[in-house]
Amino acid sequence: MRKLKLQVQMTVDGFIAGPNGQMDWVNPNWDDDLNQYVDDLMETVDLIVLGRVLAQGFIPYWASVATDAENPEQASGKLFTETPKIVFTKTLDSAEWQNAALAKGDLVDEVTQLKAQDGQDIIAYGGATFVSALIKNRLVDELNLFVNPVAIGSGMPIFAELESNLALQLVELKGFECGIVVLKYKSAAPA
Amino acid sequence: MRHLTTFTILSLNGCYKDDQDGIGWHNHDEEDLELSRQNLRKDGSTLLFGRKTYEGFVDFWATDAAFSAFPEIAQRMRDAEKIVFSRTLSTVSWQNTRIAQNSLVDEVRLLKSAEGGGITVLGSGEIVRQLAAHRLIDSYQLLVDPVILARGVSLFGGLEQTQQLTLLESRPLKNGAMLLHYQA
Repeated sequence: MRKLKLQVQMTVDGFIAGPNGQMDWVNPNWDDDLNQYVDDLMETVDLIVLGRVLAQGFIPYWASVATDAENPEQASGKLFTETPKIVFTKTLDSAEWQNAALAKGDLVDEVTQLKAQDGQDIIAYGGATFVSALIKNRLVDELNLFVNPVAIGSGMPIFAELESNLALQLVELKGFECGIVVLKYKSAAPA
Repeated sequence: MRHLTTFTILSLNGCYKDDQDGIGWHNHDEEDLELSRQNLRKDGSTLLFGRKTYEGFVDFWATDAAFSAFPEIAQRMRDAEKIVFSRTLSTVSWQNTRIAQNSLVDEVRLLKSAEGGGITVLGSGEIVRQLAAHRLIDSYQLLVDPVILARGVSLFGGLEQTQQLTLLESRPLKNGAMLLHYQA
């Protein structure tokens, strides 16, 4: 069974974006250790799953970074562009991007099928609606929360769709010099 | 200016209580006792309480049982100046305790501007939530449990603007929770 990992930037109060999607609170100046941590996280991943809203920004952005030799993140751009992607949508009819297919069926069925296929780990980065649905349906096996040193009071949550409390197990906690704390949790075994 | 710090138990999604007003998900153990002890300095710090936390604390920490099981903490709790914020309590029985006469924000502004040691809020999420909204907190010690509450009340829900913090410390605790310490 493949593992579905989540990797998101988060505020101390549990939001992944401001009320209108603002990301101005995210610390862009990662230290080397954090960059290495993210590389390691991606090492075992061979599929990215995205909500449609995020995909429309994420895929073209990294495709342009991938072709820009001046960009210090070109290697990441290539990695994100070359890694196969599945975009979850109810509204798009065809995928207009490289290495991307659409999933239009029921979220739980589609993700369960993907997890049952052979392969390495699957990773999700967002957006808020898509990740909320994954969490609500308890499809995420490992949460990697990049907690930025900031509280914003209100914003886009990813846990608000839960119908009952979700118990987790802390696997790793790592504080980085840039002020971000990475929390790695896995779903606690059902009691 | 006196330094105001808080020690708060939170869920991973930033809630200090669930929709039943409870923190039933949290398992008290020796590590939170140790953290409480560290927050009770000998040099006469001031403790601020909301009514609910105060009532819970006095029911235990003022008893002989507490003094025999945890003498050091019980003694420091008793000796510390304690201020309770309540609209309903009219008297308090615990030594060195008084009921605040001013509004929370006025009282805390006055306290902070006077001479003295540190000021600490133990628990008392309602109080922390209001103080956070008014930017009166200098540091947050958050004990974050590995649980996401489906319905709860956010400690930072009163903020109207982004509050930038500085990470001072982060470490896992033995029971699977973690401690995050931020300077505001």
